[in-house]
Amino acid sequence: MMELKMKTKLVYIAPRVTAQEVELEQGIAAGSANINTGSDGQTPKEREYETGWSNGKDFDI
Amino acid sequence: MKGLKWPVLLVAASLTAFSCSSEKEKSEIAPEEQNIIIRAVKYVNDDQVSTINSDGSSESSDKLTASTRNAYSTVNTSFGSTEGNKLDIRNGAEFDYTVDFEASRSGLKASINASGSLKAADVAMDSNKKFRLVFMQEGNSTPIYNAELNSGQNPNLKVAANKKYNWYAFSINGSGSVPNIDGSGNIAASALSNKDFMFASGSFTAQKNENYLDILFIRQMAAIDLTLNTRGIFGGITDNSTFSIGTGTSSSFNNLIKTGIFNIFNASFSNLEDAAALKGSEMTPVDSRWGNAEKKGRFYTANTSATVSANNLRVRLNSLNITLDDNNTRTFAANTVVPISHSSTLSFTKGTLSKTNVRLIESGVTVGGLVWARTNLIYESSKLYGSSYNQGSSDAYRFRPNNNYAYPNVNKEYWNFGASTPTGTDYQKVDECRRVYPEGTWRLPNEQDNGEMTALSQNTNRSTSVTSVADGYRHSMIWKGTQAVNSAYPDNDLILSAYGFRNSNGSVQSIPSASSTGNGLLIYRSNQYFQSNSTTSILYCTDSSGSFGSTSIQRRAYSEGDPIRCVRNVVNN
Repeated sequence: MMELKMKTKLVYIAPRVTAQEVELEQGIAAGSANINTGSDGQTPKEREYETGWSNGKDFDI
Repeated sequence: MKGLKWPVLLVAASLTAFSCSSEKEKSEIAPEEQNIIIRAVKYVNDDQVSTINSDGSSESSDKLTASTRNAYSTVNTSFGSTEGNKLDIRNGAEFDYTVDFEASRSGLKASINASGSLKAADVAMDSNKKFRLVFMQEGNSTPIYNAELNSGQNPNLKVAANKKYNWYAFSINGSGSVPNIDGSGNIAASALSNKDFMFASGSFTAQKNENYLDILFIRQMAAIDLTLNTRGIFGGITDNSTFSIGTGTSSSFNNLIKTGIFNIFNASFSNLEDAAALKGSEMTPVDSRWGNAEKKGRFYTANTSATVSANNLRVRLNSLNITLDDNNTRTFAANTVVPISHSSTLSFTKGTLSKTNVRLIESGVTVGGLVWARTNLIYESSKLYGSSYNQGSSDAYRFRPNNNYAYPNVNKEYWNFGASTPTGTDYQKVDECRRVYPEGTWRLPNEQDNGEMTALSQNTNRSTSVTSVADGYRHSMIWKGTQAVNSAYPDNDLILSAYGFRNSNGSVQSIPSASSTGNGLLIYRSNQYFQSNSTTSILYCTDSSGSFGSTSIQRRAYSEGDPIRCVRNVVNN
């Protein structure tokens, strides 16, 4: 029985698995590396005020 | 069945033995977390929007959209062309974003919609400003992320792909800490009182690779700038002065400046309450030359559904104190209400900035129907703010803080006739009273056309006094003022004193101020002059130990320096 086991280990299925790993490695690079987008790339925008009414008064006090 | 089991086991065993380092990395891959990028670029999908170029011409929305698209295609190209080196790709992408951001920034100026009305521009948030970002997975009420970020800061946030998220971002547009939400998504009203509160939100299903928020903060309050000008009351606004905006009267005042509880889930205010009054210390000088005598402050109100019908807006001077030229503080009556003139109904629309300018002008004392200045005209050369007089930009011509003095300054208070400065020789050119800020409000007594000095001379409803003051004795004639008493001022009557005159040698004559028993002359200028002999008409009265003779109109030379008491040319209110 022990001999049989040793023989099955020598059947090379592993290369197929490695091929799958290449696919996963691509995922690693895209998803887990730090993003250094810089300050501008992370800068929100704000909408400026629209002009409303305007008035004035001279007041004797 | 038994024949199939072995290969499966073998695969597992070989993975363990064959690629230890990869196994470690794979454990990070498993959740398929995605990066969140707060990108500056804003999609503009509004077909009605045109871009205004610096030369005034407008472009169709196509160009703006096209440039945005180009930026994205550049990024995509970078990814594709350098696929062999993914970390470098990111740097490349980063660079492209930066370029794109700059391009978009210059293109996203104020734009107009189809109807031609101005539309507010979207600008980058200043890098020193903070905001708070809250992330929630749909269906959950507990944030998976809630943090303060500086504008430009990477949130370093990863979420699971293919799940839906709601995000909320808000800011009080400052560099200090940002208020937080409670468990119900509420921001406390007190935290938003008179704050420039901005809010943005959105939802998305996380995609693999980068996800972009494109935060665009929208103002949630209406803003009103109050510019308060006290140059015409001859002092600067103190830090502890306070002001409000509303409607009604001094005693029954409806404050329009409100704060409220803001709920981030329904993006609205509730439980409106009065915001704190604006303090002088929270206002900034408009012009360094006159500093605190003109300050501007901004109110923010959550009461954006409010309207004010014509002429009903009021600025309330809850507490107005000014620092006078002698460094004393003048305190005006609490809760004085200034009515603002406006011909149409005012609204307080969210995201609008409105303006109210109030100029306060020293009131006078009314004698014989004419409004007289409370104190003498002086010339303060240090407040000319330049080498020569410029209308609107000078405070050199002003009134003294009070009448409680025995000796005027010989160079500041005795005026040659019609000259631009007290000792000037450009005679009959200038009505110095008209140069008191705001120009044209005051003028010399008009003896020429209206006989105003004669009328005062003949007005016997007056008294005399000799008053001990800090620097001697003030010998005065006092006409009763008939206007409403204003307790902010030390005197509410017309007080003209015997200060004599300055002769052509520059020395003061006929001033009785050394003692209560001195002799002197009471002299004040009018606007009437005689070119034939270079003389002007003055109010004249002898003073002998406080016993005044009859007042009369006499003539004195242009070159003689006499005190001036201005009268009102324009009466406001």
